[in-house]
Amino acid sequence: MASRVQQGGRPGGSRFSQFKLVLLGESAVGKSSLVLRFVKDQFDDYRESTIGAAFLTQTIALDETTTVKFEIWDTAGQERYKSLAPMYYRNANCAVVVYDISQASSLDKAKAWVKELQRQANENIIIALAGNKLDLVTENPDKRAIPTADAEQYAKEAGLLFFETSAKTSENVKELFTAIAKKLPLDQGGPRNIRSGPRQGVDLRPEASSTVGASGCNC
Amino acid sequence: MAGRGMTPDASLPIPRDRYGFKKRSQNITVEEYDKWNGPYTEYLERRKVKWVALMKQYGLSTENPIRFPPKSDKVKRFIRKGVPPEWRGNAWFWYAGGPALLARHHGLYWDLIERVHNGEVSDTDRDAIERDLNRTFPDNIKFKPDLPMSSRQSSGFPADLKADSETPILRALRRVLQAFAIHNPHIGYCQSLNFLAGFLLLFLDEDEEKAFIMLNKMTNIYLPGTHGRVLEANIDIGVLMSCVRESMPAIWAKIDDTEDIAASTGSSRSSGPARLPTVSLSTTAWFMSCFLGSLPIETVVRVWDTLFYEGSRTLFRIALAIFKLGEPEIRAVHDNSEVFQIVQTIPRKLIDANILMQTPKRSRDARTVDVQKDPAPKSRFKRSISRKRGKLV
Repeated sequence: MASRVQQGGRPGGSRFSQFKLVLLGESAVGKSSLVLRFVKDQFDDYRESTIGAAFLTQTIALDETTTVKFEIWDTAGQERYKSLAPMYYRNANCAVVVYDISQASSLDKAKAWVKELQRQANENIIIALAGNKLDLVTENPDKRAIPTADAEQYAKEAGLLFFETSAKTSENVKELFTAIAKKLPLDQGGPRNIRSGPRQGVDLRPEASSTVGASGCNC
Repeated sequence: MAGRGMTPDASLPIPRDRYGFKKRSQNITVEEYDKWNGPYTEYLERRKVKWVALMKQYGLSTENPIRFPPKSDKVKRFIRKGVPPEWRGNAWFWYAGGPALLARHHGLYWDLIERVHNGEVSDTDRDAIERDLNRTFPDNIKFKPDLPMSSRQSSGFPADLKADSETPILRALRRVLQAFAIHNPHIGYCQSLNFLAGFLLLFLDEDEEKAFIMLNKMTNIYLPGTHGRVLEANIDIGVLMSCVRESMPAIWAKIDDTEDIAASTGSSRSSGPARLPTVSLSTTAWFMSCFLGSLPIETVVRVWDTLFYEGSRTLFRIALAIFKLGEPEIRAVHDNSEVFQIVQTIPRKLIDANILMQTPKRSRDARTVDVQKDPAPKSRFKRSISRKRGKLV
């Protein structure tokens, strides 16, 4: 199964791709704050708990000719929301699994999410592991509960991208999303399947139903 | 870019609404708020005059009343047009049957508080509650007071100040949530209860016992199962989506991506909640938080006025009204991702509660409303949903 990708030509031969990204991780590790930093370059010391899910988009330019748009589903972290999780990660091209480097148990939760994604989600899903709240540790090294090397080792074994981030100072936030974008299959896959139905204007994309069958990219 | 506490206007008092919430939100500016609030304040004064006359007609007090007129079509109209803000909490409590519930469960809350002190709250629930306390209405002055000017201008919140800043309402919220978790082992603590309980405390003069009674009613009568350990929030969404499909086919055509999902995930995994359209993810919070965080505060209080008077059908009626009001925008989009954004944003901009409360006008949509007049809409729907979920969603 290939990814849910929309590609469109732009004048000058530039590339535009669109991907679904889902954020998962324990409650209060900073999922919404990472997204807020990435999308709006803002940070709140006190941010309301996310109920259900929030949807945001952000477009980044990888180089002069390549643009990637992320459709981001930011989810609630509490354990019981797990029953809704498949709704969030179905068709996701990429996932950011977040833990809090000052909370040992949050890495265990992150590992459980990675396992579930690798078992249940799109088989080509790109997963990044993000150890958030790096600012806390910079201020006070005693607060670190998870050594960088341990998480890095795990990420390597599980085949994940890995970053330690701070939504507060913005350290590594852009880097995290850019690294994901670079790993996404910008060149393969067909158009994202937008529901068939009357469309206005001229649709220059190849017809989803006729071209994507072989590669299996139809979402 | 700096956090909100460090913006250039930090030396000015933060503009707040009549309930102590910041006027500004992600989707509404202070200017937009003030422009709407002027005429709305006059509207509230006109309604207050009518309410005073109504109360006198029934020989009821108009000074901090705790009793309200018996239910009738006229009172229902009054409720839909909004309860005077200063009477609001008492009216909610009265029409939700609070006094009788309080009498029936006399002393229950304080017994539960005793059990909280004896350490009966599970570690999981206790921990989850602690994680959410400081993340409950940080935009409200009673939950998160303005800091003294000097500290607001420094960067962030010094650690010692943070520890001291727990307000009485936050401590009350902790107790209510902990007592609730013990009393409702099938629910325990579920994220979103912090908002429901916090809002109740705010409007019930921080009366914990009353807030506890009301939270029980909301989670067990209006939204049974929604917050349970086995989360049934997607059943509410399933009901909503089937209503949208039946009453607003043009919108359904735009949001229904269930075929695409089934095609891409393979039929083996396409049963159950996975068959809900993706856009329904934007609506989970509508039910779980009874529109807190989704609608602007003044609109939420108007919805809650009706919720406690008419019951859970209000939540479905409002959810459908949001889709109805958003119909032109939803029908204009060509890309699913825009639909998600629009469905999420429409309610956040609905500052004019009167428009929402009057939607739908008597029209072909009235059928939708009548569906919701079933005395026990949700339990009936739940049964029918589980029977025909396969073809329904």
